[in-house]
Order: sequence, then C-alpha cells, then structure tokens
Amino acid sequence: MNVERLFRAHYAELFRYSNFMSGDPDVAHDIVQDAFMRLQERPPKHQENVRSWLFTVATNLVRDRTKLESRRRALLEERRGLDASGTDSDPLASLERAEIRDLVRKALGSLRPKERTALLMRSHGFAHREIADALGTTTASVGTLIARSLDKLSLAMPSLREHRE
Amino acid sequence: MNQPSHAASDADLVRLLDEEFEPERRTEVLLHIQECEACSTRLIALREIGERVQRALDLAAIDPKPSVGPGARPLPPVLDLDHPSSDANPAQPSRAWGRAAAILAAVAALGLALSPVRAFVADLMSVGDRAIRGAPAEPDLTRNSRVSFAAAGGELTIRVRSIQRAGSLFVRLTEAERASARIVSSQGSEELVVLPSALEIVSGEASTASYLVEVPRSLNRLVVELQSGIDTTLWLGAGPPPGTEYQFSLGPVLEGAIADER
Ligand SMILES: [Zn+2]
Repeated sequence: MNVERLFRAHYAELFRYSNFMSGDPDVAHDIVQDAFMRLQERPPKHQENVRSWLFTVATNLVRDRTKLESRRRALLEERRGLDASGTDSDPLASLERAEIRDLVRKALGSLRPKERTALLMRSHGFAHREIADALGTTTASVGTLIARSLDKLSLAMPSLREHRE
Repeated sequence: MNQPSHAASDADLVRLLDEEFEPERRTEVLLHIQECEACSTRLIALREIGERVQRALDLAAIDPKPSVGPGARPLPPVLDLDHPSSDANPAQPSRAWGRAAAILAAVAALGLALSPVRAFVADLMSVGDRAIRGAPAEPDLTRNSRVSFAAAGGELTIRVRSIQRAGSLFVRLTEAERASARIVSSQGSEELVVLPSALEIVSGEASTASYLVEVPRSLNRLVVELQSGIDTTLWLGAGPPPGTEYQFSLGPVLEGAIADER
C-alpha cells in the first residue's frame, strides 16, 4: 500500500471533513494525522475502499473525543469572526466568509453526531452503505438522518439563501 | 400497478436524490411522486436545502496547512483515469450535485413548483430506464437544444468559451458512432457550436447551464477545456463500457469525476 499516494489523494478532503466534524482545525489536523498513522500501522484488511475506511476512522476519532465537544462549543464563541482565511484578498469577502464559517459551524453544532456524520459524508460523495458502515447503522436509516439534518440546517442557516446568489 | 403506491418517506426521497435505489423500488417511488403533490414538493425542498448546505460547506471550508503530514503537499483534485474506482479517487463532488440534481436545477431555475416536477420526474424515469437497459435513452425535457456531429479522428475537444458561474457537464459514452450534445438546463443564452474535432459551448458570463454530451465509445481522446485555462484530458482508448459517464462541475474551476452507473 502506497500511503504517500493515498495521503496526497485524500489528505485535503479528510481534513475538511474532520474540521467540520470537530469544529476545530487543530483537532482536525491531529485526527487526519492519526488516521494516516493508523493506515500505515494497521491497514484495513480489505483495501478496495481505503477512502471510506479513512473517513470511518476519522469519524471514530472525532467521536472518541467527545470531551472536546464542550471545548468545540466554547471555540464557536471564541473564534467568531477571527479565523478568516488569510488568502482572501478582499477584506469584505473575508468578513463574509468568516461569517459564513461561523454560521456553518454553529449550524453543524446543532446536529447530533450521527446526523452530522451522515450529512458530511454524503457531501463528500459517500454511498449510503458506506455511511451506514461508518455509523454502525442500517442503510435505511441513513436517508432519514440526512433528511433530518437538512431540515435542521435549513432552520439554522436561513440567511445563506442570500449568499452567492 | 396503476394506483400510486403508499407515500414516500423522507428516507425514500433522499435515496432517490442520491440514486441509491434498486431500479424496481426507484420506479415505484417515482410513480408515487408523479402523482403526489406533497411528495414532489418535499423532494424539491430536500434537494434545494441540500444544495444550499453544500454551497455553505464549500464556502466555509478551510484548506489544510500544506506542510502537515508524511512529507507531501496535498494535490489538487484531478481526474484520475488510471484508478477509476480504486482507493485513489480524488475528492468527489457531492452527490447532491449529481445527475439528478443537475436536472432538478433546471426545475429550480424556472422558479416554479409543480408543473416542471413532472418533466423532472419523467427525466428521472428515463435515467432509471437507462440504468435498467444499460443504454442511453432520449431525455424528454422540453428545453433542450441538440446537435449531432461525427467526432473526427477519434479525438474530441469540448471547449467552454466563456467562464461559467456554475453548471455541470456530463459526458456519456455510447455505442453509436456519432456524437451529440444538448443543453439540459439553461438560462437561455447558451449555444453549442460544432467544429471539426471540437464542440464549443458558448455561454453567457453568468451562465449556470448544464450540458449532456454523448460521445462514441471508440473515441480515444477527449479534452475538456475551460476558458480560465484549466483543462482535463481523458484517454479513453480501450473503451470503458457504454453508459459510463464523466461529470464535470463547471465554474471558474473544473472538477471532474466518473459517475457511478448502476
Ligand atoms: Zn406522497
């Protein structure tokens, strides 16, 4: 198994997923590192879908850090508007982006962990079967989890209607 | 079997949008939705929220620090034809932006609730038939323009002449020798121009149109070019099976992926 190739292929998206899951970029970095470390040390027996395996490991690592949940909540407040990416050249765009991040982080925080996982894995293109495996649930309940999280997010992010339109 | 089946649950609707159903169940649910205003409205709502949420997630995403990890920078997502379904798949665009969503986008763009739903559902049905028969079917959308042409010399370039804001480009392989192209969702200012070995898509600057291009499986090279200078080359060569579909998300950037055909 070529871990470096896998790393190059999946690092960015796994980070993005873990960041949304944990609400904390530093935690996300740790989780992604741990996931790849685990891949190197204890690779999955069935290697046909390493991508799904990586996301599942990341999901579990986030879940294992439930203690961080409260810290995450605190960060939501703390980081309000402070973490606009330095790459935006237009300060107005940066501000808007920071607001969106804040909004998204809060909205995701309003979901139960299973809902958040289902929603984010779906947004990364995973099949319901893979999401169900990651959650240890049935394929049938994945659709319900996704619909429920979409409804919650819709309530939590009404102002996004105006963005980017 | 003429009676509409029982109501479709939220889970059914999500599975429909995500193309998760077996063909029989899919047809059953579609038949119900076609008859049921509540379910078709809900279907559109779920898809619309999903799209909105995806857009928000895209805007809110933070890029990782490039220096972290086992000594490698993360690569930008590229289409990796050598490993079409293996572990090396690049970041895949959300399934919420998949084929069904592109068609539904046409519905949303019209800003109407129910009459286009029937067209949408009809198109979903034809996608389902396609999956069942393993061969492409004619879409019956009313708003489409269509051009046919021969892809000369086994090569074809699809060139998007102006920067599109959004939209999808679907490239589907067929057994036919001729290629064809159509606009499946648009705001009206798009045009398809056939050139020797190339198809030009001339779109308005704020275009969010989606296109379907069907090309012969015998094609050995396909290039997708964007005005912004990004291009992707597909080497088809030994021929993936007919029905294989490549999806590109248009916009200032071009992202490609091989869509699952099931
Ligand atoms: Zn119904």
